Amino acid sequence: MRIASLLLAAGLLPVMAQEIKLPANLDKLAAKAEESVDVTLDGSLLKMAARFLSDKDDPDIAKVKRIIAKLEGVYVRSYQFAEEGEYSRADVESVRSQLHGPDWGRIVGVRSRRDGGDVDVFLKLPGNGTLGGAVIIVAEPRQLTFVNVVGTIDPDDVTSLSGQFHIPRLRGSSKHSEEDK
Amino acid sequence: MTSRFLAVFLIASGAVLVAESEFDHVVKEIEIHYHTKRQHIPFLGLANLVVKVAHPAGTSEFKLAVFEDLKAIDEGDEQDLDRFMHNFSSNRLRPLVRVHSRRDGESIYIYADNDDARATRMLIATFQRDQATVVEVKVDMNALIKWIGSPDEASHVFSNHDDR
Repeated sequence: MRIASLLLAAGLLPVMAQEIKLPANLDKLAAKAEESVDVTLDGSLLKMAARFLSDKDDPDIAKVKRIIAKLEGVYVRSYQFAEEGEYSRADVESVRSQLHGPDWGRIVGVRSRRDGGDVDVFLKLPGNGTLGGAVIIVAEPRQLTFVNVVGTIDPDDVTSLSGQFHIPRLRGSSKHSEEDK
Repeated sequence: MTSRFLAVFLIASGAVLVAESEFDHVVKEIEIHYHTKRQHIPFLGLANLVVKVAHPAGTSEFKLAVFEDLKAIDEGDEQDLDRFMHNFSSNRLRPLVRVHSRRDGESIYIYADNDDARATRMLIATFQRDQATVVEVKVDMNALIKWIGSPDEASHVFSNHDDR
């Protein structure tokens, strides 16, 4: 799946700021995985990074600096497997089902029959005119990735953060959505 | 005035000692847990001096400990390693990144010592088969953000087990 190949690495949160919880059985996937990545960046570290990141001569860093100043946490978990079928659809659904409440809206949903990969991007909409966070789930045949971004975030910022902190790249998602369907 | 300077100096010295003890603590525990001793690395002091002056890759100082012949480390037993490394987590030393690669037989742990300063201390512990490396390095924020995205690169900047 083309979009899946654009989306590398990463995962979710241990205690998603938290409301979203990783089921315990998901942790067992690490034991099966050929490679697992766990990234935990809390608010104080992000704020400190925002204060002291040097953004001169680098517009990308300047943008990241602006975005992370408003975040309370970035959590990533990614599992890469040697073979297909090492995780079940129920593993993914256990997380996806927590994002069906009124506070959450799915802005991207890709299902690729060709490559068997799914991509979902959920935004938290608390109803006060701001966005309270984002969850990205990338489920490919041999890779499973969860990302939870907690804090005030703009939808465009989700794209800007992609490729940072092991968050999968999301460029061209709408185009690929159409192609993959 | 002198006493004020002395107080500041003592507080600063204390902070350095605390910071040093994190690295020393991890090194000591690895020696005990895995029945090994850190290897002597010639010219390490000279290398540290170069880092202090040249600031390569956003670093300003570093400490390095290399271990070989680690006993009681089972290949694929990442959970035991996770438990062992979890003992070092604290309010001061916080885990940022954990990577397990069965393909490479390698586990990488990155911790940050958040002292609310322009630079932060990173502690990087790498375990590969019966070898381990612990690096404490003071980095600027740009280097920290970069290395969070490339933990394998961070672990190999100061050492490469495959070369030995």
